[in-house]
Parts: sequence; C-alpha cells; structure tokens
Amino acid sequence: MSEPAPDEHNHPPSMTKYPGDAIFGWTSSKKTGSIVFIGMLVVCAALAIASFLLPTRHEYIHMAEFAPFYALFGFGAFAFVVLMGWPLAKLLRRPENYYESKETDRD
Amino acid sequence: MISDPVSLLAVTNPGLVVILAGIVAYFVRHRIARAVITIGGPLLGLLTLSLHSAQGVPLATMELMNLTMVIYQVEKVSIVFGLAFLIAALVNSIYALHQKDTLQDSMALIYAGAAIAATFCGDLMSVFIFWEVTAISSVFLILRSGTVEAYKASMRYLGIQILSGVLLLMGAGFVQSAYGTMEFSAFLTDGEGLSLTEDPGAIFLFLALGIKAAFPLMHNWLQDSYPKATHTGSVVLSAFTTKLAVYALLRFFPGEDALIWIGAIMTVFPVFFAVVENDLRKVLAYSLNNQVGFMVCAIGIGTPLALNGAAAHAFCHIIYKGLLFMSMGAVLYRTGTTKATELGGLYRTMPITAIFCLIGAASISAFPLFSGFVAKSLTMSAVGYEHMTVIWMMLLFASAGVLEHSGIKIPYFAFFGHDSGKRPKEAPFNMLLAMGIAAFFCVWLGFPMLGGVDFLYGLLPYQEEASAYLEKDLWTVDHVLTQFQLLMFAALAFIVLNRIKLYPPEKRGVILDTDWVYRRPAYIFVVWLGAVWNRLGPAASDAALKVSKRVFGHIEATFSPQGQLSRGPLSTGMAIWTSVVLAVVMILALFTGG
Repeated sequence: MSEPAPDEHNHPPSMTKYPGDAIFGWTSSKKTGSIVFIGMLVVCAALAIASFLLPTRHEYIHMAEFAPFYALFGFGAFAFVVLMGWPLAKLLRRPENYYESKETDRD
Repeated sequence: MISDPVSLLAVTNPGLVVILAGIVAYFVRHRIARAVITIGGPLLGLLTLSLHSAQGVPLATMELMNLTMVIYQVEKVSIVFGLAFLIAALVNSIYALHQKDTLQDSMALIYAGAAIAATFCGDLMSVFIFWEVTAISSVFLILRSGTVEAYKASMRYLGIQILSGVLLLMGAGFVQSAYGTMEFSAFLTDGEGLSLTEDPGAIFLFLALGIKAAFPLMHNWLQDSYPKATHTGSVVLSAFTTKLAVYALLRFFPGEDALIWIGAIMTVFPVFFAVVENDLRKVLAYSLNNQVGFMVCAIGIGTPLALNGAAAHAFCHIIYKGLLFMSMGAVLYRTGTTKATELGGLYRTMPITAIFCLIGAASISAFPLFSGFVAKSLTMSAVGYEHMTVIWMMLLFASAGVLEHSGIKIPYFAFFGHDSGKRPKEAPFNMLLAMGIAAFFCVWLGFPMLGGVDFLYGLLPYQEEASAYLEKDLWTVDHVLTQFQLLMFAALAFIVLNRIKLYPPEKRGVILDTDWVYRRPAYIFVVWLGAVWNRLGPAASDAALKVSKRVFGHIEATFSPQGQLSRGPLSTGMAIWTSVVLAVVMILALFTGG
C-alpha cells in the first residue's frame, strides 16, 4: 500500500495570513535574526557571569571545575560538529540514485 | 483453572493481551470497532500490569519439550520498560486512527505486544520467541510503504533481525547446556549478569543484543529501514526494537566493561552522519542511535545510579523520540516528504505540530524542565562519579551534538528556515491528540512540581540511589546552570555559524554508511561470481549437478526419517550447529538479496 496522497498546496510566499503567524510569525521578520543573535549573546553572557559568581563547584571531573568550562565546551563541540559537515559531505554524499542504479539491474 | 477475570489478568503477561488485540484487529473491518480494539488492547495491557500479584517470582509458566518457560515474571526493571512500551503502544494506536490499513494496525500491535511480552518473560526461550515475533511483525511496517526501496530495505531488515534471533538462540543453547535451564533465575543473580569471558555462549547473546541495539558497525539496518517505513510505521518502530535490546542488555550484561566504550562511541559517531543527512527521518534514526548509546554506556558502568540512568533514559526516550517521529510523520503525511531541501516554513499552517516538535526537541536535548534532563543527568553523573574523564567528555560532546541534529535541525528545517512555499493542512486531530499526549509526558516527567519526576524516579530499580540523587543532585543551581550553559552556548554556535554562512547547506543525495559494504563491494562480488559461472558453461553446470546429487545423498542419509540423526536423541549441540548453518544461509541471503 502506498502512502496517502500528499495533501500539498504550494504557494509562493505572500502576505496571506496563516494560523501559525500568530505564534511564530515573528520568526520570519527580517530583524528577527539580529534580535535573536543579540538576545542569545545577552543570555550567554549572563550565564557565563553567573558561573563565576557561584561558589566553586565540586566536580568529579576536574576540568569541569573551571567556571566557563561548559560554555566553552558547548560552543566548541557544536562548532566542531557543524564544521566537520563540510568535509564529511564531500566524502560521503552521493547522488540519490547511487544504489538504485546498480540494484535495478537485478530486478 | 482460574475463573475469576481479575485473578486471570493477575497472571497474564500484558504483552499477550496486546498481541491478542492485534490479531483481532486484523479481522475487524469496521473502523470504529477496530479503533476500540487498537486503543483498548494497550489499555487492557496497562490494567493487566497494574494487577500483577507479585514481583520476582514466576507468575505463569509453561512446559515445552522438557523446557520450563516462564512466560510472566515481573521485575522492577521490567516494569519501567513494559510501562513505557504500553504507553507507546497506546499513543501509537491513537496516532494511526486515521489509517485504513488493517494489516498495519494489526502488525503494529503484535509487534508492540511481543516487545512488551519479552520484557515480562523469565527465560531465554520465551524471550527468543517474542524476539522473533517483533522481527517478523515489524517488517510489515516498512513493507507497507509500497515502494521498491522500502521492499528492499525491509528484506535487509528482516535478514538482520532474524540473524539476531539465531544468535540469541545459539546463546540460549549454551546457557541451557551450562546451567541445565534457560530460566533467568539460574544464571542471573541479583544485580549480576553474564560474563563475556566466563559464561559460555554469552558472546552470542551479546552479539544478538548488539545487532538489535544497533551497536557501531551493526547499526545501519536502523538508518536503512526506519526512514523507509510508513508515516505511522516509523513511529512504532522507534519505540520497541532498540529499547527491547537495551532492556535485555540491562538484565544480562550490567557492568560489562565493553559496553562503556561501545556506548560512548555510539553516542558520538551518529552526530556526524546526522549533520550531513538530508532526510529528517533518517536524522532521527541517527539520533536514536546516539540516544541508545547513552543507555548502553550507562549499563556498562553498571553502578546502581547508572542502571537507574539507563532505565530512566529509556522510559523518557521512548516518549520523546516517538513524539519527534510523530511530528515528522505528520509532515510526511501532509507534504509527502521529509527531505530538508524540500521543507521549511511549515509553522504557518502546521503550528500545533511545530509546537509539539519543539517540545520533543527540548526534551531530547535535555533542557532543564523537560524529561531528557531528569533522565540523562543520572547517566552523566554516574560516569562522573567513576572519574571516567574521556567517556564523560564523549557523552558531553554527544549532548551538544544532540542539540544540533534533534534540537535544532529537525524543527528548524521542517517548520522554520527558508520558506518552501508549502502550505499543507494541520495534522489530523488523532495525530495531534497522540502528539499532545506524548508532549504532556515530556513536560510532566521533567517539570519538578508536577509529580512526574517523582513518578519516574519512583519506578527506577534502585530506589535508594534514585531518591538520594533527586534530593541532593538533580535540581542544584550549578547543575541546572551548567546544563543551560552547555546548551545555550551550543545554540549560540548555531546562530553564529549560520550568520557567517558556515553551516553546511542541505543537499539532496544519499550518505554512505556501513551498508555500502554489502550494497556495493559485496554486490559487485556476487555479480562477478555470476559472470564467472556463466563463462564456465555447461561443463561447470554438469559438475555442479554431480556434486549436488552427492551432497543431497549425504543429506538424505543424515536427515531423512531413516537417517543417522533420527537414531539418537536430539542434543543441544545439534541445535547449535543447525543454528550455525541457518546463520550462514541468512548472511548469504543478505548479501545476495540486495
């Protein structure tokens, strides 16, 4: 049995109002990117400062006692994963019919 | 003979109730009646579980060919997994109510029921039987997509799952010969499992569970098959197979050192595949791999806190991963695709699905106040307490990776990001209801004042450690703060890399994984063999015919009713060698079946 016919309606971007605009419409605003970026900088700065203000943590992993450890690790790990995407995509990505082109011969 | 229904349910494995509901559902064509059965089955299963009369002792046994099969035995840890499976089965049934496919409804329940039944068994033979039922019933959830790719993937999936079952049977055979029984009570003492080096056959059990849990290099059946299942099928698949393996690992191999590294590697490597994958359901499949890695690692640590972590993580994961698969299933149902390159901006017409997806994303990312946080923290702390710095760093790295692929990529590319121009309808009511229930659990289980955290921790197998952790460690300011730091700075990295255009663009294509080995080189080798065979011509065929006649003669002399094997008693060794032959045939079939 095949999947149900997609109930799909393609429309060019327009000024039409949709139900989701009330909740998420702000995400499409041109200024949103900058506002979110600045907001995140403020939040992250506050979190970093808070880690210095807290009494020294007793961590079972020594390096985690360094106050901004989690902040630096989070940023670094995420950036590493994303940046590794470039060489990995070159190495591992193949055309969509990569397997089908060979396998179909046998059907 | 039990005549009282309550007494009967008290000794009935809840999984059998769900399996029965699945069988009945196949014959009921009236949609409302079938809905009553598909929802009523898991509900009755929950009632059955609540009525169990005792823990740690066999509640129902059966004799089969001199084997005592314990078909119902409730343990603390089996309640965690069984309850999560029953909730998942119920939610999945609601999610699939719009569907008119009786076979899929039926198989989804039989599959769920078999997984539930396996968690409440007390011997290896019963586990093996239900293990195989999960394999056979679940394959229909992939097949029913109806595409050629789904058919091929389902055959590869079936071959690998059956191979896992064969290995399990081999391990069970060794246990039988060593202990004289397959009952857990004979070889699993309190908190102690099998030893890979000392217990004969343990390696076969380990490999069987490793395949089902999708250990590294054994994992690709998952990414190959789940994204090709139907929009409801992938939701069902996400809940049971791998978590059944986690349950079995927790029972058979707690504290097995090899699992620490296997689990840690499992958490890390899928992160890199997920970042370049275009199909969002495949991204979720890699994410599933990564999450199961946390559980496997915790089982390897083996301390009470770590085992609590594995159980709690499995419970929460079944629900939030189901929620994420449901949101992508709704997108697939409405748009016909889950490719990131073809999606974006769906929040406009699917805002409720988008909200549920975000709740699932927050949960899997372990944001404080969501279920992932209260579950994953146990494992992270358990690793820290053992001073395993490298493993701890790997898990922390994987936690940031989870935020990338499941916390941000899934909702961002489907519902936000660039506007694809697609304006599909919101998901049907039953799908929204199912997602709403799952989202409720994600919040309830993670929010401190709602009672869900106490409920979850109250279920865990080691109560003393769970209570102590809840009181002293979970909600400390520094714990919550450091978790926020990790996640918010990771999110900041996403924004920065996106702004400076260093985030890799989504592109169409397939990402090579370990399945390449049997889909390309092995395939080419088989084709080459065929070509060589053809060149050799009739002479080779004639020789082969003579050889096959002689082989057949030997087989007949051995296996026929008058053959050698019929003259002596059936031994465990013979069963094992039969399993070996079957395993070899399965592997050959896998390679040659494309």
